[in-house]
Amino acid sequence: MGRGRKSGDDNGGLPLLLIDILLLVLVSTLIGIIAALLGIGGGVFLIPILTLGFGIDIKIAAATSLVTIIVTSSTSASRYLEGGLVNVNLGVFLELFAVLGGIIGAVVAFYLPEYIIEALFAIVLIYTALYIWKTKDVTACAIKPERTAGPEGRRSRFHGAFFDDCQGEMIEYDVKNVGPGAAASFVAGNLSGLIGVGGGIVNVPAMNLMMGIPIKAAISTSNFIIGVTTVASALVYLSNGLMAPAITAAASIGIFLGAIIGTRLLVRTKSDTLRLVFAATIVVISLLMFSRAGGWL
Amino acid sequence: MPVRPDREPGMAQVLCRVLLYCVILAVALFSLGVGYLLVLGIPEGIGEQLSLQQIVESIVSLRPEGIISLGIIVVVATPLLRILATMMMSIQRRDLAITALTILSFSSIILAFIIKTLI
Repeated sequence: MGRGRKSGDDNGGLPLLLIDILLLVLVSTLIGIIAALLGIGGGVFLIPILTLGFGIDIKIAAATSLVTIIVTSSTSASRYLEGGLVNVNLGVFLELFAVLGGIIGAVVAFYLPEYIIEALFAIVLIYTALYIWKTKDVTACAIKPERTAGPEGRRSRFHGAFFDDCQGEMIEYDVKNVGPGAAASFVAGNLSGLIGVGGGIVNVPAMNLMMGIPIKAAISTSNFIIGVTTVASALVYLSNGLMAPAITAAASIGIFLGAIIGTRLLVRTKSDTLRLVFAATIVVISLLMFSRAGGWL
Repeated sequence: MPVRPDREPGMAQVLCRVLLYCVILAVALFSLGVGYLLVLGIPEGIGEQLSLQQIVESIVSLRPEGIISLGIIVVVATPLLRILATMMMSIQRRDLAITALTILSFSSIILAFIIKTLI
């Protein structure tokens, strides 16, 4: 590890050895476990590990991250769809804006110098640390979902309902501020294309706080959207020849395994302490990314 | 006591299966490709990024990196298939708004890919 920054003319990939592949699978598994415990996609850990640890160009790291995000978000979305938590109509509406943002972000990223993307990523990491620290533990049954519509009320096209296992009842909700929500979705997609994250850190608070969607439905619908958002960006990276298949495969296998293990560990972990520890870790990673962007690392 | 409502196989169930089966297939292809690499040995340049043409060539030649690339194609196709499935089901239900939205999303993604490949 730690092969240093690749030069501009350099390939930017990695002369992989057997040990590198195994190490990458192992590290990605750990990232997948942590991401599942924190309820995030994992890109915020994977990209710094690939760039700072393995010395891979940030654009290739972003392309790798996008593929792993499709794998994890599709797996989560299928589970949430089965549980009836996804608001499909709203998801289909918001993903159009996320797709447009993602395409623009990925095209812009191709022309931006590496250090600007690294600095932008470092800023997003700080925001992610705050987000993780402040977010409620949605797996806890203590949180009662906010009911914002009753069966007798006037229903909008995006009216949603799900059965809450913890409360043992149907939760109905209506959606407000659809326009600003679409704008937030565009920003989430744009970030995804620019730096290779899923965009859930923008989507979920926007849906929950701005659009009035209960947190469980917001997370589920965000996962439903993320796959489509990231594919728009991933295809642009793919067509620009920025996909390194072996690195992508090793990272995807690890993250997939980690997500399965992490979901099982979730019930036995004290999440408040965990969130604080990982939020602090992300701040440290952010400082390292700033140093790399500034050329000090 | 409230009871979880029965769900007939609807859009959510179809989309759920599309996503799950595609992910399982992709991870299986990744595992097969990486396993193949570990058995055969790691060729030089395996960690480097490939152009679209090289990806297609590696798939056709069925080399380990080709199997992995096929896995990447399956991953990328997964959300696209999900949009197509949503589109087909909304056409069946004569839901014009959702049909129009899915057509717009799908065509934006495909157009961006085609334009970026050609430029």
